[in-house]
Amino acid sequence: MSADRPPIRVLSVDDHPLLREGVAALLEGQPDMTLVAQASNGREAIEQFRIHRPDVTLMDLQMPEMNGVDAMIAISGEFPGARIIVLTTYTGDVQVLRALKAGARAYLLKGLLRKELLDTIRLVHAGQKRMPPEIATELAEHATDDALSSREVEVLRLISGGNANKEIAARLSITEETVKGHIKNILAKLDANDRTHAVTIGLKRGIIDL
Amino acid sequence: MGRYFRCGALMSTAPDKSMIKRLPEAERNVFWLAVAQLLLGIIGLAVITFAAVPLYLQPGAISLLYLIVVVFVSLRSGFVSSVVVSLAAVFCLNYYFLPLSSSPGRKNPLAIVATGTFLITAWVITAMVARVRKLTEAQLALRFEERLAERTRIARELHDTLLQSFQALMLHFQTVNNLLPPGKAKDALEQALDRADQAIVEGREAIQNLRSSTTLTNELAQAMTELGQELGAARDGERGSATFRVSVEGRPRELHPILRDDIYRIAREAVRNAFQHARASKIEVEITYSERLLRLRIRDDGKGVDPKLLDAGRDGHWGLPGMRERAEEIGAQLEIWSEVGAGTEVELRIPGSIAYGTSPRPSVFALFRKKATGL
Repeated sequence: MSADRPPIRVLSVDDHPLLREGVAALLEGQPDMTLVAQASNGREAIEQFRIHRPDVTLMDLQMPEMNGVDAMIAISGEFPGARIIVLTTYTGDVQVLRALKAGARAYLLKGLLRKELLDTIRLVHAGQKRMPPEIATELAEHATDDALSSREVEVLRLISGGNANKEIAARLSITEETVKGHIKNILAKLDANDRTHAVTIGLKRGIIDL
Repeated sequence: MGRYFRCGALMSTAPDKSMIKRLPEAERNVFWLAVAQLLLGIIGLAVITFAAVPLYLQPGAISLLYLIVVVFVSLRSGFVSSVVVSLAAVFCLNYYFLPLSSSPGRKNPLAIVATGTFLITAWVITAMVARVRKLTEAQLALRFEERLAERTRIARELHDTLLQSFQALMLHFQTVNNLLPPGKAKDALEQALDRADQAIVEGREAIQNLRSSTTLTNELAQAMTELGQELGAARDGERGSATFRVSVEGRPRELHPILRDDIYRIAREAVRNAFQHARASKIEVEITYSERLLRLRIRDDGKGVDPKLLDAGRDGHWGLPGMRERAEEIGAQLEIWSEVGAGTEVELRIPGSIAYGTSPRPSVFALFRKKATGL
């Protein structure tokens, strides 16, 4: 780390103030990094990005108003060189895939932040990509799986909300038979034994959120 | 109370699904069940009819007895059977006691009124019984839904607040750690932080489980098998570790997540008692899925419990009060048989209508529905 090189300029996006503070405190101790701005949702993130053009952006996924994936799509569309690191609690392959497609260069679990955040910022700034091994394994495991259709995801989300078939049918304005068909497909695609199992898998793989 | 170890085929404790033995004969035929109850009702009527003359019973008393039989049948096996039995009762009534057609063409108006009153009373009572039962079930189902929604809300809240805050705090601690010079303090802090990381991971998993129900599989049998292995492994090495078997009768059915959780927890308490307190050499779990009810039996051949203690249900002792409360909450019946030296048997019975939610009590209607949909 030569002192003459300009520090890495970082934008931190998270709806949780305590986490933003934590990131700020951690970065403060690093001579080669500087936190230029913070944002608490996707919309603010885009604004702050336009103003500051940070070298590296730390992006939470679940946020009110505009989520991280939508913000990343907007930022990457406008600034193709944007280097974004996703920070999340979730390990699910579907979630990861969505983030990667939206332009994420690295994926970091919040549980690993304290050990890996600084290194990951430096790596991504140097132009590399980074994926924790456990996530890479999970991605590989499901690489050839059939993805759920958006309707099926919707049905799964309603199941996770404790809705019975009849209620799901009413909410989606389809027949109960169609709901049953969707559920059958969901069980087959996720290799689940039953509805609850499907929800568990859905949560684990990031198909649906808590 | 020597009701021990009379269950049929058993399985070893492998979690493999194919190892859980299924006994098809428990798939009791709904039709024969309905017929049997119908016959029972008819026999009841016949007994009353033939006893009426030697006992000098008045027609009013006889009708009342008939009515009791009809209500009993409607309680046991549903509307159709009750209608059939009540018609049979009317036939007996007319034939023996209030001759309707003593001379063809001239009917006794009093008999017609009496018959009508009898039928209306019988059917109104039957309908009321059915209605009350349906309402109770609907109320229970609603309570399950409410509890599921509440649980989901708690899980989300814990995830969004507590868990996120802890993760953020870890960053602050790491900042302190980075400021410390290498040495004992830094090492100790590093170790503490590693432990905290672990705790957070466990917390996250607990929250996820809270959301998606504690038993990860819908198969109670499998959940029980895994539980037995877990408890057995924990006590392995100690002398006298018990053998654990699970058997399933009938076709496993889908249960509401909340209900399944509660059933699992009640059974878990029973199995845990058997492992930890009973000094048993055999522990068996028998799960029966029949149309009418879902039944779990947990048996051990251990040292047993003093029945007085069972009745008193000493606070906190063996988690018995908790089991009873939970059972009551889900509309289940819990019975425990035990004697000192004779082992313990816990039986949990949940009416099919509550356990399987959508499926009604066995009735001839249900049979026709099944035939019609080809299931």
